[in-house]
Amino acid sequence: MLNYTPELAKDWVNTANRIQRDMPWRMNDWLISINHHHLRSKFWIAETLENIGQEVNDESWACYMAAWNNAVMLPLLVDMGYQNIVCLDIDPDSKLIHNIANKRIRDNYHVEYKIRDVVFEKPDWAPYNLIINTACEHMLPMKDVFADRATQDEALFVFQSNDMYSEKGHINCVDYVDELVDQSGLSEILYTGELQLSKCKRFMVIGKR
Amino acid sequence: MNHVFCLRWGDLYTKDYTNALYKNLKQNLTIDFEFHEFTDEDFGPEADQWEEVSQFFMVSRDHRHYTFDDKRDHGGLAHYKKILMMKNNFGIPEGKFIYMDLDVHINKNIDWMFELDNSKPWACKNYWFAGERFRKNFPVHRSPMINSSVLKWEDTQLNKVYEFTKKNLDKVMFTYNAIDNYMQDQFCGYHNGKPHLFNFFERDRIVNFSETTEEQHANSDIISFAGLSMHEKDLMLQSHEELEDA
Repeated sequence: MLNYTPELAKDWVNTANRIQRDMPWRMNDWLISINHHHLRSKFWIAETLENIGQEVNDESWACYMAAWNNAVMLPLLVDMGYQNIVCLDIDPDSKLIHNIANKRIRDNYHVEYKIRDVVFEKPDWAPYNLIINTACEHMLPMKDVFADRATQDEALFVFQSNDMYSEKGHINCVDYVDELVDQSGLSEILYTGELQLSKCKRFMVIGKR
Repeated sequence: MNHVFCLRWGDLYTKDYTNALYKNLKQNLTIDFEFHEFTDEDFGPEADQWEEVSQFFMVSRDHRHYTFDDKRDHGGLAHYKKILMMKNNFGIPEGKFIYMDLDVHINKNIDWMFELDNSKPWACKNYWFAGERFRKNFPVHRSPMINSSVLKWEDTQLNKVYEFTKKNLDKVMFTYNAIDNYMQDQFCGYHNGKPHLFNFFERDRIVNFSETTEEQHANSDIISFAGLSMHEKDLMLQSHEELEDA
């Protein structure tokens, strides 16, 4: 789990200072990405994967789609034991923020952050043992994103979405977890659940293709 | 041959707009050109198919929770008919082409547009979005840098936009509500390093009425009224006609 250590506090405060100085328009984004709702949503993933009993070793690779500012999920993945992590997002500014916020982790682990449009481009999904997308509400259903794409037979997929229709850019919200399951295209469902947050419900499905 | 295209579909714009644009062109283009207005029936059966997909994603999507304004943000690729135009220029395979929205007004001579180099198609750039506004809104498909109010191309240079769209129609219609955001993401390489399909017209030549100053309006060659209400556009059209009659 993520421990709020002096080092992490320093990372987050440094990031806030840099954002304030260099791209103040992203400050609100940054604050959202480290707020209690985001922490709860990401902790939910870590706890559930631990309960499922996923096996992680030095050779395991994780992919975090739509990684955004990546303040919480990357430290959690490292805590789970992942030493090879590829983050994907369409937004170059998010990568800049990730680079600042996660410098300590980037110095010690194999972390790549690639600017990719996962809907229209065709990233290679085959290396990954774990693929996480916590922003399914922003894009085409996952079954369409992964259609005809090779992935590992035993790869675990974690998909989250929500019912926050009012947010700009949320083009694919769902009202029920079953809708997310339908959109996931996963054939072996290991977990489904919902988490009530103050402004929306967050849904999660974990499984294999 | 030089061609100027405008498109008028549905009933939002009246024929008055087409007539005004043609009159405006004749005053500001001294070189020979053919003017073409294309309307609903000119797009052919493919437009019906695309409309069905557009409606499916824009109108038929579950909108229990969306307000009307939100609804416009959710797919459907409004103005996709511009992309159908790019297929084969309505059957004119060769020539120099300019496309203009009906809500533009030409202030000055624009012969230069037909003399631009032909290495790439040309589009407007929303210089006023540059910096914070563009970067802030990029992830939510707003405030694009490219603007298709006025386009210039040769032969079938724009066909690749049509072909890509046709190949990825569901994805495109699902993801994008507006053609400019779509073209920026897929053809202007901001996020993915792909080469730009377009050159951009020189700064201040073509400006947006709402986003620029009166001085910039006066110095510009073309003003676009995109973003104004139809009532405001009608008033603009009327005032331009009155000025010309005076």
